[in-house]
Amino acid sequence: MSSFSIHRRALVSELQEKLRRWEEARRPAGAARTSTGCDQLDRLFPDGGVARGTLVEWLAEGEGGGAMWLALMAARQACQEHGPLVVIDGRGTFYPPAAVMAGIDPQRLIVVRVTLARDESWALDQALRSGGAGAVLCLTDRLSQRGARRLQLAAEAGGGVGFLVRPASVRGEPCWAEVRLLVEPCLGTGVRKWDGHLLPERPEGCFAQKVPVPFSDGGKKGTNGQRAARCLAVEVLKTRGTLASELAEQKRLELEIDDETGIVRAVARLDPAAARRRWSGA
Amino acid sequence: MSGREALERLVPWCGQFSPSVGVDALEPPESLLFDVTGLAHLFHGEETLIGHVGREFGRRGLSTRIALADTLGAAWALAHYPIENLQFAICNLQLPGSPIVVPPGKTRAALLPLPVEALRLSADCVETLRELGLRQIGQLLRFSRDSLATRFGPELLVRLDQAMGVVEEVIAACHPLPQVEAETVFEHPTDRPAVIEQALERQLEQIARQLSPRRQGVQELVCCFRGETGKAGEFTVGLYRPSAAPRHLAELIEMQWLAAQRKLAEPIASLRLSVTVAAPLELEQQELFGDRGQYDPRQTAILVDRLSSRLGRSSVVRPRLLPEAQPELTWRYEPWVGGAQRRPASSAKKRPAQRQTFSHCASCKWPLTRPLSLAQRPVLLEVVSMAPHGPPLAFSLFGQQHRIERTWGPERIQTGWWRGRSVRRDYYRVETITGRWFWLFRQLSDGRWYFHGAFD
Repeated sequence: MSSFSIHRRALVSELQEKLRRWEEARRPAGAARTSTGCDQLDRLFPDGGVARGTLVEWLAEGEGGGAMWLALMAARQACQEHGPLVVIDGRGTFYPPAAVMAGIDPQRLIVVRVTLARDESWALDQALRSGGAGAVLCLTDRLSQRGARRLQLAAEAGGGVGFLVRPASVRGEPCWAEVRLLVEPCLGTGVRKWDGHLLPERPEGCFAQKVPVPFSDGGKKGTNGQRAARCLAVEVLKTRGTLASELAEQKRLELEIDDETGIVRAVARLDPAAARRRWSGA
Repeated sequence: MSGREALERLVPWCGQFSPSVGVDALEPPESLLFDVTGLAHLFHGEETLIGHVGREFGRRGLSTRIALADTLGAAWALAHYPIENLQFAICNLQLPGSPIVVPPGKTRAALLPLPVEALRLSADCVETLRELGLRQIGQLLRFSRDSLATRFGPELLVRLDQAMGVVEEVIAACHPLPQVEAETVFEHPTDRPAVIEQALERQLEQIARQLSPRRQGVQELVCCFRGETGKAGEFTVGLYRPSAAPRHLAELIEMQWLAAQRKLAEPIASLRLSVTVAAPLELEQQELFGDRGQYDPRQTAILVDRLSSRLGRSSVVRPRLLPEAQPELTWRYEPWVGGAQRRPASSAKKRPAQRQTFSHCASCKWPLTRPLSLAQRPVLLEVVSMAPHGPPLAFSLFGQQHRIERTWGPERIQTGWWRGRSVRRDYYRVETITGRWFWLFRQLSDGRWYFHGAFD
């Protein structure tokens, strides 16, 4: 390897280090951190939690992927001591009864209904900048790069926390958020115990079985009588101020949401490769 | 609205009968008091005056019991207990409820047969009197003043004297608060923002000065303006919490100003701000040691005002849950500013959330049974279902095919016929082979499938 190449590498890493320090310095000094409600998920964030004055992006592909749910859970935690939750509803589909069932106090919920993109962006900016909102939640697919940068500055100025649920197509764009997470749904496989053991999966084609007696449980039981447990995979795509090589060791996490309590927990799925390494003592 | 507020609202209207109108000081208040001294000749006699008052109230849909007497106490007594004094009723038919006029000097005679309650006594005093068999005012007058004072305390004597006219009693007249407003008429019509801004600021300072002795702030304000050709426009600014800070108010006005001015499309000749709703300012103790982590409700109020001002009140809302089964009717949005619950967040915290259909803590059970996104209207689906009444196997939504892996349900939701179009649906939560969750239902009337929400 030529000395020029070594020199260039050193220069790049020096610049990256400078960039990181600069980004670090921009964060509000001593910003309070809140948990997302799930320890394992917290570990994906720099310094182990959601810092006030920052944005968190949850990228999701298509409908029904579950990113909004995770964002809502994190927002609920962020609001506990820091004022009401502001939900910017640009699509007119937000269903408040579900949020209330998830533990959001309707008396401390500000729903902002907007139709125009510029109003959505303005409302987000105001809510983040004001310091009067505990957290701001927005499902948006029309945020520009400049808009995202402005929101980050607004959050830094006002100390608000923004949870933006955005389409996965923006993953290539520059990230101004503290953390950019990709949320992908995965298939719940049977009833899983918290320790990671799996119960036998249901036989193939059991959805054709006779449905349970109607109205017995209000739709809580599944086709083979199992309880619903929702599985989601969360992957850290970017962390602000941290280089890709320094990202949290565990970049991907599988979570399971309990149907009855709504508690989000990490699922320990055995990785065959890791198990082999362990056997071989590597 | 309390009874007192309702009566006070009538006071300005009652100014047509008497310049001095008051509201009963008793709790709960139920009487309006008019001082008609020297006014009878304007109405051609007391009977005509009282008849006129009765008719005008009747025109407003209010039924009245009116009495006119030498003293306030006697008028009150006769209005409340008119039955025994039909000889004074001005109506020839002498029906109960007709207005009563006691001629001058006849007060004592009119009071004698009335029950002791007519003296505006406390419940304890009335009970004591009744226990002793003293039921009529006439019976009381047989006792000496000294014995009445020693046996029943000073209250009875005072009330008796007030009714008989021995002690003077005045009507505490309610004067409606003067309108708080400020106006600027420009010498030359202008559309220069700086000039208009300066005028607005000056007016807001005037308003703040008018409100400050009352310790009130603006809760709602109307901004009226007139163009050089006389074309007029106005808009309303509502606040979540009352404020008297000119800067905050100016900011809220400016948010609507540009749009309003654009609509007028001509230079402004005059500008008037009128406070339509003023409310007491909430005084909050400043913290000695500022804690950045603490939540400041004032900041929230400013945010709500700002959002409502630009986006409109109906766009900044909070949900109120309703006891309905049909998913699209289970909640209603109420505006934060000027809604039915016009009360500040701090007092909201003190009150239990009694109007919620279920407490949010208790409802944390089964949170995944309702989707976070609900379609504004159910979307008709084409589904593949193996059994005629079984769950679906696959469906197509927005041009995308979804194969279903697991389903939970059915959850039957139906509404009664009295609601108009009844609804009978079997809801299923479905998980597709890619792990996505949707909320579908089958309409039982025609067996068709609809998409209603996504567990985003």
